[in-house]
Amino acid sequence: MTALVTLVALLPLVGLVGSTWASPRWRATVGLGTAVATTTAAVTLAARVHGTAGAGDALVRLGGLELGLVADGFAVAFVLTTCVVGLAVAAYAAYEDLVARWPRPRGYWPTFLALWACLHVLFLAADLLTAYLMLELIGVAGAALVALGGDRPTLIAATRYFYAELVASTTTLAGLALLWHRAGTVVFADLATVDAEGLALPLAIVTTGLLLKVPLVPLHGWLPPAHALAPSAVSPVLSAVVVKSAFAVLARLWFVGLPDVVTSHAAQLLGALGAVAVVWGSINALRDRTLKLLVAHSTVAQLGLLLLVIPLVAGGGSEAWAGGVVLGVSHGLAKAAMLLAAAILVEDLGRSQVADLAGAAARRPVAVLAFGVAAVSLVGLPPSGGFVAKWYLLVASLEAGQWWWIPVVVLGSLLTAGYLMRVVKVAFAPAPPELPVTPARDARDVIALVLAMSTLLLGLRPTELLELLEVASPFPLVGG
Amino acid sequence: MTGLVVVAGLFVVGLVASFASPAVRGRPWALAVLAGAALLGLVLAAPGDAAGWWAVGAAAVTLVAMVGFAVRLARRVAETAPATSLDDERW
Repeated sequence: MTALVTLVALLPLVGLVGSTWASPRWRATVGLGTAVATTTAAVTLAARVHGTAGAGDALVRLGGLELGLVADGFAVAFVLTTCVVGLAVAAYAAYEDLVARWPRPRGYWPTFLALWACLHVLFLAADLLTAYLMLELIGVAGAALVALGGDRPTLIAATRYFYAELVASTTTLAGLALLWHRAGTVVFADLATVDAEGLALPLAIVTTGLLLKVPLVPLHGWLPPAHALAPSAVSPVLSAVVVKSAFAVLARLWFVGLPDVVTSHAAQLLGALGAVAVVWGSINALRDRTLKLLVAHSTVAQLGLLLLVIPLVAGGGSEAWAGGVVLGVSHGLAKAAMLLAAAILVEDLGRSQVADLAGAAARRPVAVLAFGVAAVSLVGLPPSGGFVAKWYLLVASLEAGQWWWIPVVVLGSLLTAGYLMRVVKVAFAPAPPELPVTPARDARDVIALVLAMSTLLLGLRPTELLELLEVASPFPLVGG
Repeated sequence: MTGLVVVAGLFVVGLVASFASPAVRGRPWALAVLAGAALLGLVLAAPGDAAGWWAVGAAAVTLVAMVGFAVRLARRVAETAPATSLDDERW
């Protein structure tokens, strides 16, 4: 399994080299081919981990630098999400390049594939140093992709995003250094065996850095403009997967590396910040007039919901661990589908305001359907992955005796329904007289719909993902 | 202990400067101080063996790349901006 883990981690780098040297005609073909090959390798790895119920591991040596990788259920779940989203975005971008023949900046494919490789290594990272190095590179690649938009507002958004990333990275590194000094190791599994005394401060510093990267309210100011202004083949990856990278490191550090250092007060504080994010992000989404900005503020709210997992897991709710990962996966799939659909609608109508979407359902029915199905999952309605995730969170709240998170989850769902149904309602309104209503669709609409439908598949068949999560899980098994 | 105090002091200076700096153009250099402090902390904390030095080297390379990219982004913003409005760009 070692070779397979290494292959999954590094295969996008082969495509990076290929797409860098390929002529413009072949760049998209190389990128899409790499996406297919990487996804195939990741599915094979997931099947192997699921089948053998054992985690794989690997050690990648770059000179004297050793990057430890471990493919447990948690890591593989996020790698698979990255692949599904990455493949959809690659197909979307390849369609625009190869069929529609729209010009795309030269740096897109190499940077996209570099980001993909870094995400895989981060999710598989067995130690904090590897995770930290990947977080840095993800920050560079993410901001570079946003900056491909090229105009002044987009460049400013990319710059702010990157400044926040740099502050977060240096804060994380400072905490990592202190942790290494006091514990003598930064390997997650080894950290669990060292004396917890004196590790609270480094954990707090690393956590602060990671929360800025997630980002959590009130450290979130950079996210909405960066995600809203990013090119349409970039923002889905940022909103669906990149924002989960810091959360994955946080979860590993808190619950695999240093569970004895984590206090219930600290966990409750993170949960409270998450609750604020749910309300703050949702209120902003309700007020937003621009479609992509609305979806970006929705990401802030959904990330707050994800943070509720921290106090619930710390309180002994093993269902929260499963609920958190299912929420991360289902949000990733739904948000990517929603952003792809939003980009199609904005491009087709030539308008970015929510109020100007009247007639969208008549013109691009498949894209509106994709948006609606994705909304079902984000709200948490059955039979979607979002419903399964929120069910687990509610059960975990009751089991951990932390009932006060239940109103947050319910309120978050109601507010999500409020701002997303506003979009759907306008989309079904009659088109203005000057707008032709001939229904149209192309491959991109279908890509967005397939991605959205995958959230329903997750809701109907969550068993495989839950079984995968049990592989080398730090928490007891959950009921299917 | 002295090392820790120096690192902490530099870090606070970098952090304050990063948030206080009003101009897009000036902030990368405040961030460079911040990055330098964190890197110095890693140098002091890492084990003195080859693996430790490789780790420090890798962190240094990525940090230099990040600061370099920040400078480049700031320049690109400056190229697209009227000079008078540059100082008003706050995050």
